[in-house]
Formats: sequence, structure tokens, C-alpha cells
Amino acid sequence: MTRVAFLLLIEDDEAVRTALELSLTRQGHRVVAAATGEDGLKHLREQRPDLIVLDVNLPGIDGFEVCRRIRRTDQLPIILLTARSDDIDVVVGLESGADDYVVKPVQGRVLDARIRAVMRRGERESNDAATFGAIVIDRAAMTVTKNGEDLQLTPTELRLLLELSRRPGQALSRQQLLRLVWEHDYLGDSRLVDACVQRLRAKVEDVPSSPKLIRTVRGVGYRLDAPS
Amino acid sequence: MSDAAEGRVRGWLRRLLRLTSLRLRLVTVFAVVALVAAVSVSGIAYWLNRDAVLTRAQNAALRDFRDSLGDQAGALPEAPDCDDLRGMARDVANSTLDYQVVLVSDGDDGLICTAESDPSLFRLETVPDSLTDAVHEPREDDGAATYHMYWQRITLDGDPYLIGGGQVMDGGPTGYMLASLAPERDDLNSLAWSLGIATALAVIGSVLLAQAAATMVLRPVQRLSDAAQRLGDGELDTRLQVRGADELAELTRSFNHAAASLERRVQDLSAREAASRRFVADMSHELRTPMTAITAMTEVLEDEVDNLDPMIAPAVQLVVSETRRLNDLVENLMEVTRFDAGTARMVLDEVDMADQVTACIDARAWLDAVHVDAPRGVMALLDPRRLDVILANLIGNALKHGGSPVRVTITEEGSEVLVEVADHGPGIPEEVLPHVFDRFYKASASRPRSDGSGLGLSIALENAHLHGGDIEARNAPDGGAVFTLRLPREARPPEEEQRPGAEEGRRAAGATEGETR
Repeated sequence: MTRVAFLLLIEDDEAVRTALELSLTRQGHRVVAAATGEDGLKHLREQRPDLIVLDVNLPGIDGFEVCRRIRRTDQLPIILLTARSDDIDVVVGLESGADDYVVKPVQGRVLDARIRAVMRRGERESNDAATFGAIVIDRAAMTVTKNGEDLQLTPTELRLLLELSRRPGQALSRQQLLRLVWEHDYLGDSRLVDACVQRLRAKVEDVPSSPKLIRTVRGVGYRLDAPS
Repeated sequence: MSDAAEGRVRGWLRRLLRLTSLRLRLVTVFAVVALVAAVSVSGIAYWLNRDAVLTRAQNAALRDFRDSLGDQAGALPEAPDCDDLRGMARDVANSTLDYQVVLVSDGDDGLICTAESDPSLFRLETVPDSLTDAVHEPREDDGAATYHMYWQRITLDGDPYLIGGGQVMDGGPTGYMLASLAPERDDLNSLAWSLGIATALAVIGSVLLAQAAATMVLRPVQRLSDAAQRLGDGELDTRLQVRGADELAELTRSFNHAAASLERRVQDLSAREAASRRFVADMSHELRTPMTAITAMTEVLEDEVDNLDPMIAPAVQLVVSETRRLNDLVENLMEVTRFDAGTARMVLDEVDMADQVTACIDARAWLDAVHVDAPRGVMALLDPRRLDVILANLIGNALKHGGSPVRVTITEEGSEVLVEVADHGPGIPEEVLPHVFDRFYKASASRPRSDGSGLGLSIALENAHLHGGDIEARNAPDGGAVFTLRLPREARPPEEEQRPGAEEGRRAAGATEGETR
């Protein structure tokens, strides 16, 4: 990883903002910071960062709402910074389209590792294409089309689809997917996988509630099937 | 049968027995009183009746016999022969009253003649000797009559009879009569039956009355008992409607009063407890924001420690290490408040226990100090993160106090998975053993607190409980402490607060129902 990532940090607490900015800068990233969600959205439009580190607890529009607004137009990676590791926060965060989350107080190294892992998901690695029914995955261009139309996928969703498509018909456990896509250790949060699968289904399946492509394998995990 | 059901049945039985005994006592007393009254009334009535009936029948028969005997004796010839006597006997017996007659004449000629009105029914042999003697006994003191009429009751072939006799004056024949008392006996028997039936009815009536009375008295008692039960089960808003002004109403009022003050007290206490819990939760939450900033900065300081003034470096290192401890403490406090508030949730996954133990040890670079004896393929449905917290606390604790080598053994026992963490240290003092899972419990100097926060083992235990499991601490016979973690193969998420949230979370996360379970 040699490329310098350009991060947008949205965090209302000045001390935390300063400290994380300093820490992330020292890890080799270029950081621009915003104190509110509105500011952050403005920076996003003007400066086009590679990734957003977003605090959940913001004055004005909160982190979840910022996340939802970003997702309407952009598919860039979002890492949530939550002070509450309570379940509902994580679930709502993942629902609103975040790619990963870290719980405060977070160590700079952990955050850096997550950032790098997210950034790696967008890297191409092979030059072939695969077709699953109406879905065509072009691994060279890193694009996915459905009936010829481009699908807007976040790097995480794309990576998840790539990992599944590399082993068609083979069930992958949530823990395997966490390692492959999120690069988490054995304690990764399996809800990340569930949330991402849900979002991916919403984009690629004809009827997301009765998936034909990304199938759930009871007691195991998920499997990508070529529709017959 | 589950414990709860068994307890319910036992309670129900006890209540039934208790009520029955009170009811039984009431019913018994009522029945005895009714019985005594009915029996004495019936007895007296029977005896009075019997006397009156018998006397009347007797007197009528005897009078008729005497009159008839007197009349017929007058019509007898001076020296009657046996045929005359037989005719007289038939005449005497020929009465409206149904009796048989025997006449005996012991005339001057010394000839004894016996005349029966119906020899098949009444013969002289039937007359008891005592009666014969009495009849022939002259009464000296009585001027009016030398001989009297005597009677006696006898039983012939199981039937009661009246037998009477008398001597006709002036050497006349001696007459005996036999009258059946069977109609009277039948009358008396039917009277006795009626009285018996009346007595039985009275007893049954009194028992029913007692039942009704008992029910009337016991129903409020039952209501009170049920209400007390509900109160005990935690339904503190249980109140009873006060009816009437009797002792039971007073008791009900007292119960309501007690329930009200109990409810107030419990509300007060739980409000205070909730407030203090909220305070701890808020506090640890508030601590996180500054901790985030400090943590990020200490890392920067740590990286620069080599470039710092040697005088300053130790200070920086201290700040860094203590910040880490403070971090752990805040994290553990948060975890504890989640347990206390019942908001701790589980994310279940099917895992291989051996993999989890190895990964936990591997992640903390403990591989050299821990010997793992775990067969692969022991699967369990649990929250891997929480298992990691438990394992890290138990193993870390063993390493810190027991010293290596620490032995981790996984065994299966029925529907449970057992993880045993044994060290080779001095063991845990007996007086400390019951407190090792207490929060912030400061053990003796020989066994200081397990981790920086003093909450580690407590959190481990709470996590085990959350899975429906348990942790036990003991000392091995050959020295060293042994912690045994017992987990059900399929963790059952605690009901109520757990289920809806988990379900919601799962639904929100888009997993199909039941797939992680």
C-alpha cells in the first residue's frame, strides 16, 4: 500500500478530532477534518476524499443521516466511529450503508488497519469477467452490470461479490467472508456480513426478499449461485 | 417435570390440604352437633311412642279378654266339662281383637281339662311358668279380688306376643290369652326408620350447611392467599377489593396497605438503583470521548518515546501504560453497566471450541505459556466475542497468578461443553475462593486482582451466565487453581429483553430467520 489515502474525518469533539487527525496523518494519510455533518457533506462535494471516517454522535444531522445522504450519490467507503458499541447503533449504522465500524476509544493503529483494509477492497487483481444470469462482473474494470446497466456498488459490496463469485456454488461462512472482505480477525462482527449481503441483494437481485443469486446456506453462510 | 411446575403442584397441594383441614374441622363440628341433636330427639320420641303404642295395645287386649272371660264364665254350667270349656274358649276368642285363648279348669274332681280356641296357634305349653305361678298366687291383701290378671311379653318364632292370664273368680277356670304385637312392632319399626332417615337428612343438611359456611368464610381467605402469592411473584400492584366490615375485610385492608407500602418501597429502591446504574453508564460513556483523544495521542507519544529526553521518557511511558489501563477500565465498566441494565446482547455463531481457544491464545501471544488439550470438532453455538472475553480473562488470570504452564482442556459432557483452565500456582486461599468473581474484590497480597480493572472475572462470569452457562473456581488437589467454564452446546438467549432486540437486529441485518441460530 503505497498510495496516500485522502480521508475525510467528521467528528464534533475538537480534542478527538485533533488527536485522530494527528494520529492518522502520522500513519501516512492525508486528512481533512469537519466538525459537523453539514460541513462534512460540503467537504465531500468539494474535495472528493477516498474514504470517510464518520462519528455517529454529531450535532445537527447525525452520523447515520450523513451516511444515508452520502449513499444516495456516492459509493465511497465509510467507517463509522461510534461511542456506543450497543447493538442497535451498530445495526442502524450498517443499515445506513457504512462499510465498517470502530468503537471509541479507538487506537490509531486499529483505525489505520481498518482504513487500509477498506481501501484495498477497491484494488483490482485479475483481468477476467464472470456472468451470473443478468449480472456481469468485470474484474478488469471493477464494474458490475445488470442487464447491461452499471450497478453502483461500494468497494465493500463489490469485494464481497467478487469473493463469492470466485467460488460459485460454494458456501462461505460469515467468518470466512469477514477475513476475505473485511480482513478482520476471528472476532469479526458477523453482522457486518449480514448487512452487506442485504445491501448487495438490494442491488443485484430481482426480488431482494427472495434471492436467487446470493443464497443463504442455513448454519453455514452465503453462496453465489448462477441462476439456472 | 420442571421445577416451576413441580413447585406449583406442591403449592397447590399444600393449599388444598390446608383449606381442607379447616373445612374438614367445620364440617365435622357441624355434623357432630347435628347428629347428637337428631339422635337424642329421635331416641326420646321413639321410646315415648313405643311405650304409648304398646301400653294402649296391651290394655285394650287385656281389658277385652277380662271382660269377655268374665261374661263367658257367668254363662258356664256349675260343673263344666271339657266340651263346655272348649265352647267357652272359642266364644272368648271370638272377639274384635285378635287373640287366642286357652282355658284350664282344675275342677273339684281333680280332673284337669285344657281347652284351646285354636290348638295350632296357642297351647298351654306356650304359657311361661312364671305367669302360671303368678296367676295362681292368691292376693291376700286385696279385698276386691283374690286373683289378679297378669301379663308378660314374649317372643315366639321371632314375633313379639303379649301373653296374659287370670283366674276366674270362685274356682272358675284359668284363662290365658295370646295376642300378637306384630302390627305394633311394624308400626314402631317404620317409625324408627323414619326417625333414622330424618337423622341422616339432618346430618347431611348440616354437612352441606357447614360446606357452604366454610366456602363463605374461606373464599375471602383464598382470595387473600392468591393475592399474597401474586404479590410474592412480583406483581406489586396486586390489591383486593374490600367488602363488608368484618374481620376478613379488616385483614384485606391490612393486606392492601402492606402491598401498597411494599410497592412504594420497591419502586423507591429500584428508582434509586436505576439512577445509580444510569450514572455509572453515563459516566463511562462520557469518559469515552476524552479517552479517545488521549488514546490517539498516547500512541503518538509512544512512537516518539525513543526521541524523548531520557528524563521524560519514563513519564511518557507511565502515561501510556496507565492510559491503556484506564481504557480497559472504562471498557469493562461499560460492559458491566450493559449486564446490569440487561442490554447485553449476543451475536450467535456456530464455532469450533478448539479453534476459538487457539485463536484467543494466538491473538495474545500466549502460545508458549499455554498448553491446549482440545479435540477438534467440538462445536458450540455461542457468541465468539464473549467466549473470547471469558477465555482471555481466565487464561490471563491463570498466567498472571499461577504462572505457566497453564493447561486448557476442553471436554464434552452431555449437552454441555467444559473448558478447564488450570495453573500451577499457589492456588486460591479458601477465604478468597467465594469472592473471586466479585467486582473489584481485592484478594490477599498473594493473589492480586486479575486484571487492571478488577472486573475481569466478574465480566467473564456474566458472559457465561448470558450463555446459560457458569464458571466455577476451585483448587486442584495437587496445587494450583482450576477454573471450569461450563457452556451449553446451544446458547439460549435469555428471554424477554434479549429476544426482541436480537430478532430485530437480525432482521435489520438482513439475515433470513433462523440462519445464525
